[in-house]
Amino acid sequence: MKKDYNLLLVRTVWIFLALCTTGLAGTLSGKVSGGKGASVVYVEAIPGKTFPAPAAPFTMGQKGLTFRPHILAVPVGSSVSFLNNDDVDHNIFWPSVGGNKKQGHNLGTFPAGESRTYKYETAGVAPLLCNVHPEMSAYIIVVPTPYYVLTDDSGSYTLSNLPDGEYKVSAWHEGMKVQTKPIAVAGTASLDFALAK
Amino acid sequence: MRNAQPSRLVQTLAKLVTPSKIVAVGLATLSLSLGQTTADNNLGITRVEGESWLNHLNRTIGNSAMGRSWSLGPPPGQKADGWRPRLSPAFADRPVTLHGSDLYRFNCRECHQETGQGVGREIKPLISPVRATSVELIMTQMKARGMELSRADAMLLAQQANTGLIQRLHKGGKNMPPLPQLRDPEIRSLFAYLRELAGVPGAEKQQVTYIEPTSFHIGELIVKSTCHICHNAAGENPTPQQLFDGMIPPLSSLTTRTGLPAFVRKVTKGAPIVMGTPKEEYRGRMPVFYYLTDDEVTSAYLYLSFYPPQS
Repeated sequence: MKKDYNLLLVRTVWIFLALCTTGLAGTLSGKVSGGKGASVVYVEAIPGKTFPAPAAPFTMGQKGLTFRPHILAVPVGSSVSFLNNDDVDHNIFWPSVGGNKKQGHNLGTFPAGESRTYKYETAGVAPLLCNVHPEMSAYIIVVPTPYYVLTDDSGSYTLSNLPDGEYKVSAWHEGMKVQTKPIAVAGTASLDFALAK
Repeated sequence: MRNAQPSRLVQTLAKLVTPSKIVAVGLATLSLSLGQTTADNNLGITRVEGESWLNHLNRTIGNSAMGRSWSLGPPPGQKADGWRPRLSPAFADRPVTLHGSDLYRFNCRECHQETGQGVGREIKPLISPVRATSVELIMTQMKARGMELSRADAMLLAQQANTGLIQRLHKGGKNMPPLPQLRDPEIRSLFAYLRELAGVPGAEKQQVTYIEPTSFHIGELIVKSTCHICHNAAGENPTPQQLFDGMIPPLSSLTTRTGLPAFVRKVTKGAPIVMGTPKEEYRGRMPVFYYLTDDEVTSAYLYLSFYPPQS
């Protein structure tokens, strides 16, 4: 009896996944206003859905006493390789992820040419700092789904290959409050955000 | 043959002490030489050797900010007028008390400048890496950013910054030469001054002085940390035309080319240099080290004489 139940569950999941794949056609576009420069727009966690983490690590470099890029969005479960391609030592730490101090981490100080890798297991914003050079800062935005995009400098974005359905979409911008809005995607949809401090 | 000079000094010293003391000195020298093979004597002073740091980086003085104090000597035509260095015997024959600021002058100031800000992108400021060693500053900074950090986390960061700084002094970097000539108590004294220079709160009250037993070591520091940035240790003395073309004379030829007064004047005040074809007086490219005293430059001259540079 138990075996049959398991088989039923597996089949249900297969059918569900197949339905999802057929629905991968939605496109969401819009504009994020309120702050200068790029923002990150991402789909919030969809109840009952999990996504495999990308196999290849993302890279956060340090060159000319700056983090490059300044904003890096990665899906939860991703590894980020911190490469010091500058000609001085850098120290990298983040005091928290999504305000949770327990997720804070110190990668230590490491010399030019070396890299350190870290896997982000929880979603949230990790503000990157270098203790040696306090003028350096960057953000790693750990997003809960693989549906995310970095806006252009004017705030415009397009999220394509979205599954049709209803979910929540958020916009993040440096120094602004995150805004989350519900949206129903069927084919194409549009959604604008006006962020405030 | 120049190698004979230090050993002659040792022989003279040996005659002044009793035979039992000679054995003791011999044993002390032996035990030291086992651990420190490059040391010439029990003071741990070694010769300056090898190519200049500029040569190592494959740069000329013209296309590097390194090794330039941005002040040149007077225009040609000025006469020495019997100028003599002002020397105090106490500097030569008594232990010298050094402050962290003195160690900064001998070892860092040439490139990082009086304020520690460095020059452009090539010579990085040393202020930020030093401020990163202060727990108080880290905590204040994080609070200002609206991200508070626990004292334990701040202490870990400060400790890492401190280790990084010590490593940099020992190993150098891509553009910065290593400074193995600095001894641990000197590094402690220098660090205390760096903290004051970087504006770490309360650092001015935590200055550490260091008693240097011999002025030879002061000469060693000045030569290795400052002169050797641009001057090769040994080599052929350049012709006036080669000087004109930009060649920098090796340290080995400085003491044979010039006497003590001319050497001290050139370093602390600047003096014209004869070069080119036909030979003519020029202001020259060598910066003036107005922040070094006549006594200190004399110790560099004596160090170069007693510990002749080698290739």
